[in-house]
Amino acid sequence: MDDLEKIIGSDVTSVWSGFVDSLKKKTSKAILPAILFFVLAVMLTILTRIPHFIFFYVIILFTLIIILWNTAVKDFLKHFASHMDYKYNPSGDMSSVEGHIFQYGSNPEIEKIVSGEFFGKDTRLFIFETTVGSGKHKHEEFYSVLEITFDALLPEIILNNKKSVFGFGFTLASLDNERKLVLEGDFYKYFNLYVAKEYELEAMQIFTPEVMQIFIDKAGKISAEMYKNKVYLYFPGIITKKEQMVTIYGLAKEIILQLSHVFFRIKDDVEDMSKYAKLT
Amino acid sequence: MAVIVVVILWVIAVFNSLVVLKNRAKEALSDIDVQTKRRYDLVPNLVETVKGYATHESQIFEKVTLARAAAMGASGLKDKAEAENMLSSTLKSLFAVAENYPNLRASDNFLELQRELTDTEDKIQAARRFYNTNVRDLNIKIESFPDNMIANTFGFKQMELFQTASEAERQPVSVKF
Repeated sequence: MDDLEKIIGSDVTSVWSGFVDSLKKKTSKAILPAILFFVLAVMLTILTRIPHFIFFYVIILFTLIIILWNTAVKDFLKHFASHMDYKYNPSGDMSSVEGHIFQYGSNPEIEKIVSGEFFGKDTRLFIFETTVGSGKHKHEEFYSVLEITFDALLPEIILNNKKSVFGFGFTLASLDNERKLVLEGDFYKYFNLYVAKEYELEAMQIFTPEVMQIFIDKAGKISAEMYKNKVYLYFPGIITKKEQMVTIYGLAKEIILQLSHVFFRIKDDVEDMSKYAKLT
Repeated sequence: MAVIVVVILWVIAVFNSLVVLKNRAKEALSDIDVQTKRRYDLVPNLVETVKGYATHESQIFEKVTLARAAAMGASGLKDKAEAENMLSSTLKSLFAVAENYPNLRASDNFLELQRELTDTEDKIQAARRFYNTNVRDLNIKIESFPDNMIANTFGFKQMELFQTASEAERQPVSVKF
C-alpha cells in the first residue's frame, strides 16, 4: 500500500485540513462583519422582542459552514485530480452511470467527478447523492463511488459489505432472479454476495479464495457491484481523508491486477448467456 | 384446524426447499461433468501436439493417457476426485517436459491448447466449489432440526462433498517461458 500512498501523494491530506485552512483565511476577513451582524441580531431581538433574528443568524452561520465544507471537499478532490493528472468536473450526467444503486432514492445526482486512467483502466471517482425516505424521515444520502471500466462484459454481481448500510435491499429487486451465494470460510461474515441467475459459475471463477481474502483484508466499508463492463466500488459517505482514498484505490488496484485476466477469460461465456437471456 | 393447516404448509415449504437444494446440487455436479469432459477431449490433442516435437518422451505420454482413461472410468466422487488429481499431476509433468522443447513452446497450436486447458482447469475448480456450496446447504438443511424430520420422512440423503485438491495441486497447469 506504500507505493499507492506515494502515487496519491503526501500533500493530499484531508477535507478537514482544507476546511480548517479555509476557515482560518475566511475568518480573518469575516470576523468583524460577523461580530457586527451578531450584535445587530441581538439588538434587534431585544428591541423587537422577536427571537427570529437570532434564529436567522444561526441559519446563516450554518449555511456558511456548509458552503465552506462543500468547497473544502471540492478542493480536496481537485487537488487529488491535479496530483494524479486526472480531470475534474463539478457535475456529471446520471445517464452515464448504470449500476443498480443509482436507481436508489429520488432526485439522484452525481457530482465532483475525478476521471483518469489507473493501472491501465479508465476510472471515475464521484459523489453520488440521492434523497431517500418520506415525510419526516426524508433525508439525503451520499456515497463516494469509484467506477472502473473493463474491456469485457461482466456477470451481474452485488457484494454487499456488512460493515456499511446501503440501500441494496431496494436495489436488489432489479437484479434478475438474484441468488445469494454463501462462499467458503468466513467470507459470509463480512459480505453478502448476490449473483444474477445463471452466472453462479462465473461468480465462483471471480471470487476465488485469493480474491475473497483480498476483499476481507482491503475492502474496509466498501461494497462492490459488477454491471455490464464496469465494476463499481461504493464507499458510504463522502471520502474526506487520504487513508480512505488509499483504501478505495488500493482495492481497485487489486481488482484490476487480479481479475482483468479472469474477466477477459469469462467474457465469451457471459456474452453468450446475456444473448440467451435476451432471447428467452 | 388452523394449526393443522400451518403444519401442512410448513411441511410443503420444507419439502420444496429440500427438492430445490437437491436439484441445485445435481445441476452443479453436471457442471463438473461438462468441464471434465471438455478436459478429456483436450488431452489427446495435447498429447499428439507434444508428440510431434518430443518424440523420445513416450513414458510421459503413456502416463497421461492412462490417467485420462482412469479419470474417465472412475465412479463415485472420491475415486473421481483422486483420478482427476492424478490426471492434473501428469499433465503438469507433460508441461514440464514441454519446457525442454523451444519449438514446441513457440507453437501456436500448443499455446492455444495450453490456454484452453488452463481455462478448463479453472472452470472445473469453480464448478467443484459451486457444487460443494450447494451440497453444504443441502446437508445443513437435512441435519437441522426440525427440517431433518421432513428430510428423513421423505428419504432425503446427505450428498458427498467433492474433496478439492491440495493447494499445490490446485495451481493451474502452466508453462514458464
